[in-house]
Amino acid sequence: MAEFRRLYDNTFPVLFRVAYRIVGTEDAAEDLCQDAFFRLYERNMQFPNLDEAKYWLIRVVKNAALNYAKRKERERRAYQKAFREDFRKSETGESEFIAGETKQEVQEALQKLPENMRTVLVLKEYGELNYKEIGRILGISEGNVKVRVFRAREQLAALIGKDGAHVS
Amino acid sequence: MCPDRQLISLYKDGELPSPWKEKLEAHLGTCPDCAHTLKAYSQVSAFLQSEYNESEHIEAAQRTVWKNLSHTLPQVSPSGTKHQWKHPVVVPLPAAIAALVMVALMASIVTPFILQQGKANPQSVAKINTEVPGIIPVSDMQGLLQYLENQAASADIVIIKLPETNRFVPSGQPEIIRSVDYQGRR
Repeated sequence: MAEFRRLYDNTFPVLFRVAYRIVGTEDAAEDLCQDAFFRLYERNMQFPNLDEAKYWLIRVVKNAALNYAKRKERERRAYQKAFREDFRKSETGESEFIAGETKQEVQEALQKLPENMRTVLVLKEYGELNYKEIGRILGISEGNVKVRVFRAREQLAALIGKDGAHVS
Repeated sequence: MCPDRQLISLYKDGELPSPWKEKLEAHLGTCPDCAHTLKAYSQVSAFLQSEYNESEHIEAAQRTVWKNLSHTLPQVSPSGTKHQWKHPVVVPLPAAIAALVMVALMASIVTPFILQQGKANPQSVAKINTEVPGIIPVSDMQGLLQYLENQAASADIVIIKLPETNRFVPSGQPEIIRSVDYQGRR
């Protein structure tokens, strides 16, 4: 049990950041992290070291978060189609709107990236992982990680630069 | 000549090994275009980190999820309650002596009451015994014999006399009984 607690304390921040950046809401990110830890505990999984356990947890959370995000996107589109309005603009209050707008911009920018690039960039920017670790988590080579991170950055820089507000 | 932009991305992530790292650093100091690229990458990272005050949210989420897990998984206990009895309890010496004296004092006060309660039943039995004439009020052998005679005279004596003859005749239907009892023995 002490081991489980140690693993939890060490890995939760990374897992939460990754999950949050993919799904976009704290509640969903909490649920996904909780499910991952529950699965690990319930299956009584054994790992040679803490890092391997962390990689497994990140992989589980990342896959679950991507599935969740896809499902939510489908629901959102169906909702918009049905009611012919964008519910994202329904927030009231200036500060709420500004905070929501920035958050939405980040989420939208990430969503515009292809999934394989988005995942790599999220793991790099929010997971505090190096290329080698990302490669192990995703089951791809280190060289492939380098290329994906680079292309994701290029695309995102171009997207943000087009708005002119964030990149000079 | 400018290096591949991918090297700038690697440099930004701290993944560019020596001696390429030092060479690129030297180039970045002299090339405004490459410096701009690096700045753009850094701003992408800053943009991605922009709106979220991470530490507060993560700590809150961490507490919430652990609380939920501790309810969901029976063996997971919240921190702080697990080892509460493993910490030594420090009691000052004077307080310990005072506690011992108090216990001894209380014991000395309470014990007589408990013993007295224990004797209550034998006392009542003894009282009953005094009402029963169990002791013979005589002082010598003559008196004892006299007392026994008087007792014998006053007591109800039942005399059971046995019949004088020992030759009995079976009653009822002796012939049938005899034929059953001695069948085949004659």
